[in-house]
Amino acid sequence: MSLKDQIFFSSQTVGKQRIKRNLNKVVFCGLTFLILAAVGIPNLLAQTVFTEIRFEQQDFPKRAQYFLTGKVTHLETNENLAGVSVHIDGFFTGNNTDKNGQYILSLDSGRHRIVFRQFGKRPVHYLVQLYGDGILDVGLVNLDFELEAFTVEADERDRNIRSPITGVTKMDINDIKLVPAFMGEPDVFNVLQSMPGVTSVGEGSAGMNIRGGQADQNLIMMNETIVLSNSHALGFLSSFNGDALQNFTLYKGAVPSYFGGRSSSALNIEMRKGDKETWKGSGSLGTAVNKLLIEGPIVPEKTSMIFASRLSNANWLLDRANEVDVQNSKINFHDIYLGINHQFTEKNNLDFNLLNTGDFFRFSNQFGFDWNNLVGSLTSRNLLTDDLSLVGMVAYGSFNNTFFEPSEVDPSKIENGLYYFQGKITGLWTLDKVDINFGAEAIQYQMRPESLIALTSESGILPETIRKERGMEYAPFISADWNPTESLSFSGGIRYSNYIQQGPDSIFRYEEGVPNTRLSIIGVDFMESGKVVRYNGFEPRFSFRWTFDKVNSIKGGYSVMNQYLQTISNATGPTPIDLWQLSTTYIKPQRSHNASLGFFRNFKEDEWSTSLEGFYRTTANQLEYRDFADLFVNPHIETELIQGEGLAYGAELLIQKNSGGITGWLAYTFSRSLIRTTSEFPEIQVNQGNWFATNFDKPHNISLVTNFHIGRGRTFNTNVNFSSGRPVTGLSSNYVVGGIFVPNFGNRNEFRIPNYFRIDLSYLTNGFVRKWDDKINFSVYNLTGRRNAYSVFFQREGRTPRLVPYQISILGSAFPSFTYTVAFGK
Amino acid sequence: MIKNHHISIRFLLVFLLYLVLPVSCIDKLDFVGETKEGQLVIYGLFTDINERQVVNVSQTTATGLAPKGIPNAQVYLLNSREERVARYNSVGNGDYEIFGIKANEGERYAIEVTLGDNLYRSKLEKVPELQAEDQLSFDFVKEPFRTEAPESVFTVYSETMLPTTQDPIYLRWTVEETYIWPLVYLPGTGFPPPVPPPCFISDVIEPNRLNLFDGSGTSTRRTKLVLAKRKVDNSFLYPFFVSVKQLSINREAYEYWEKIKIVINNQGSLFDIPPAPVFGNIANVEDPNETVLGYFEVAKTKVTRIYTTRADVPFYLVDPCQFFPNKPDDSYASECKSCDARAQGRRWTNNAPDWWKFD
Repeated sequence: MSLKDQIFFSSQTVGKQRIKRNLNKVVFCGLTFLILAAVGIPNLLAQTVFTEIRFEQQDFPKRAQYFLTGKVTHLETNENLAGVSVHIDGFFTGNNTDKNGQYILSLDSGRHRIVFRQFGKRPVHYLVQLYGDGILDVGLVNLDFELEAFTVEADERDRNIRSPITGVTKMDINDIKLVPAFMGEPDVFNVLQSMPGVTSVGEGSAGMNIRGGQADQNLIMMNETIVLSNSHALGFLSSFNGDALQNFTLYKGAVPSYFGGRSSSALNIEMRKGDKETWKGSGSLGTAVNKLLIEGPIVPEKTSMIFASRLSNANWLLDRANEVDVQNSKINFHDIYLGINHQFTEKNNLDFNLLNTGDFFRFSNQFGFDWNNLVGSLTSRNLLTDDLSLVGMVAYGSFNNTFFEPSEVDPSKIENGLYYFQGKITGLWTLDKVDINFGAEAIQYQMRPESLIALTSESGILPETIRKERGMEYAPFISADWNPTESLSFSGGIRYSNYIQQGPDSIFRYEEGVPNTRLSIIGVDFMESGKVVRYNGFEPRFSFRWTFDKVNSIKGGYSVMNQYLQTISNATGPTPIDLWQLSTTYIKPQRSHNASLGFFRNFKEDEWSTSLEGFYRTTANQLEYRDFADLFVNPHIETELIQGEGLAYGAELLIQKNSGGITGWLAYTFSRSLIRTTSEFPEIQVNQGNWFATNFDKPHNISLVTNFHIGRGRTFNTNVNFSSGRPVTGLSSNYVVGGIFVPNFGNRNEFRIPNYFRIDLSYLTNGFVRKWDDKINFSVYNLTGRRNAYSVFFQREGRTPRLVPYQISILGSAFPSFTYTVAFGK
Repeated sequence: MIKNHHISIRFLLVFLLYLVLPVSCIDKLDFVGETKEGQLVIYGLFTDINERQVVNVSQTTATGLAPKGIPNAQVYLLNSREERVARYNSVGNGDYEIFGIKANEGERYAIEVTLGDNLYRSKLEKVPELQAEDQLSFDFVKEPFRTEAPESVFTVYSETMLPTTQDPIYLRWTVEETYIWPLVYLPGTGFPPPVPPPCFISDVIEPNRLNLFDGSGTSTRRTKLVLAKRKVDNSFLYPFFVSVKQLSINREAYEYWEKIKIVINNQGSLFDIPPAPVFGNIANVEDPNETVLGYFEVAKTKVTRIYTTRADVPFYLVDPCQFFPNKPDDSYASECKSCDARAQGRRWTNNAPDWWKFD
């Protein structure tokens, strides 16, 4: 007898239906809502309509629990909707409709607020008085028909309450598109930088700084495959095409044990699978970027593919600059994503993903960069039993970089790069109240030789090549998510990471009692093969959630993470071409201890989400460069580096409005990031071995993202950013040597540039042609044209030797962009 | 249901407020670091030619201001056995000099400076043995120089031949101009009134241009370099000499100057090497933690000269001191009557240098 058969059918909607109009008069937190209040704009938010239903049982003794079941269909097509989430009293219960659109719930008798949600559909709210088993069939409509209301999240809105891990940010492409971005391109990194705890050194610098961590301390993955080079246009854009992107998840608190290799955070970007039923696509023409997307079934219902590409066309913008050097500059980039998914059976499928990115940048005739990146992976997902699944993945990544100087006496270029093989197997064993993840991961890194090469036949540069390291990192891991009660959950795991640097390598020997410098080399040992050095360590991970009164929860976490691959750079900020460096005999692996604690509260049926989180991290062996480090074509790179202790701490506040006519969030972060070098030799200590701020230490960060849903698919979006100025090294005094007036710089990062402020806006609307599925994106980056300082330099004023400070702005004006997209096939 | 157009109007109001907000947020850069005063700076150059060998001892002052010379130090030249071989004489403004002593090729030298109770000593520096040959040339062109607009610019080039040996050679060049400036001949006492002696005015061209060449990583044996540029003015009315001093220095000195070049050329761009204090080869013997700025370098030196005359200048030059019989004496500019006024702080003399010879 099926469960459904056991359900006693009650009266057909015994209770009378009553529509309750509940106007939301909540004022959006932060600036927007202060403004709204000031101008007296009430009742702007959309209405939530509850349908009240009563189920009663007449003939049987009253029971403590009753069943509620039904089917969810599309109201217009009558199609059964699978995967519709059912929320009870503000909580996502974990119940989704099955492939036939059916659901079944066992609920305490009494009154319940029940909401059926699916992304892209208008949620339906019921107020159910359950005093007998009942059937509730539900019809959902597309949001396209909803003019004034919008639901932000694709994921569950109460995830921040229910999720067992602290410090997780998850978002899907539809939300990403609503955040105005540079060149009008929906961008993961841009969105993340508007979330609490995520900053960057500034415009034009690659990478993000998450909770006070260095850019290279973030593990960035595409479908769990490591992507080392992940930005375009000197860091203005990420390499991940928004058209092919499904969602991203950022773990900035307790990173689960199945991720490792970086000491700060993990960001996994899921790319979309192609449509298995129809061929469709879209083409975009923009002022700075052109795009093409094609997806469809290779074998209907079995094999699908998705192809997405982007190509820049920004050079005409450079041509219109006033500066001759800018006019003579050139910037090109592209990315191509190909995804193929094949479903063998309902329980077994295979994914192939390929990402190729390339960038070329030349500044006048002075210098330039050319780099490209290839990442390919094959992932097999297998459901072995109802409780056990296995995911196996093999991947290959390759990164090549060229830095060239065409105008020097001897034009030259430097080439370097690396390639790696990654393998990972992950099992998930689902028990009643415990989910167990287990598996192992291995990555083999091979740095490419670094070469100095003459750029022209006239150049007198003597070619030089140095061999770089290779190493293997591998780690078994296991973790368990345990939910003993509704209100408590624990997640614990451990990762045992191992790293072996393998030959061939030249290991320099240095004089004892003095710092390792070029001059203190006393010999060199060459190792053709085998182990050069080995490091390992246990990495415990733990987090908990305690949910009390259903809308409040406290979450905490602690994790230890080792890092064996890092970037080295002595540029002002991280750049896309920073050298990747494996741990060696002299460069010890980084090891961080991360702790975080947060309080989460939702309001108004999860329409509002709020959180307050604190974090504290220490990192051993954090890398810092020595003054005037010479990093290129250097066979003994350790002589240019120094290691130290990193310290980061702070607090994050997030207030998020998830639905209604206005959605968005206000994020405030207080964050400090400090470092001190720990060499035994004072002469190479940075700032005398005292704690000092890293060059991305920005204590105060505020961002306000507001999306105005005007209706008919139109949105007007704003993004306001404020942050403290970042530290820079400033002028301490002047002196004269040999008739040359020389600025004497003070301690590293002793001063700060002015605060950063920027407003972006975008307007997304339907296109001109009614018959087409066309969209227009008009956006303005840095609306006010504020010249935000990126860094400071000192220059003589006129003919006097007096040095005065000047600020440099990477983007000193408003940057408008326009993109027209036409979708074809449906 | 709220009407769409009502929402739009409200959106517009909110948007306008957004526009108003940033006006007060845009600030001018106001960034002045804390000044550190009193750091000791010692710079000395010891060459292998017969010339005035100079050491300068000074202290840093407030940001943007020139350092202050220290005249009361005792400065000695040390040989490779760290024996005092000569004492420098103070000539004011922190300058100390010796005559008649020059460096010997392959020898090592250091300096020792006593200041109060503190003793400062440089590392021993070896005089290089290699030297390159410079062949000088110049041109006059209109091009953007100090501003975006084209200006009349005088450029000095060197076609440099490096020795064919594979031994590393590190070069630095300084470029000095010397021009003659005749004072206006005004009627005075005596019969006939004596002709005022001309001024020979000397100055470093582009003092902040560091001309460096690293000959260690290249097979290039002949290279053409721009050594100096200056704006064309009435200094070119009369013969104008350019003296190029090629200093063959050792690797440590080259690295020091390379760092200096980085800090003086730092433009704050993303790819600039971040600036840092540049430490030299001089330290307090008793207190190695004391920061001593500057450097003592030794160099194998060669001076090459080239001159130009008014005939070479393709631009129209105005002589401000042209004599007119009826023009009152006091209507001539002071630079026409006084070398000091013309020199404006630059070095000058009434005696022609011994190399002042031209066709």
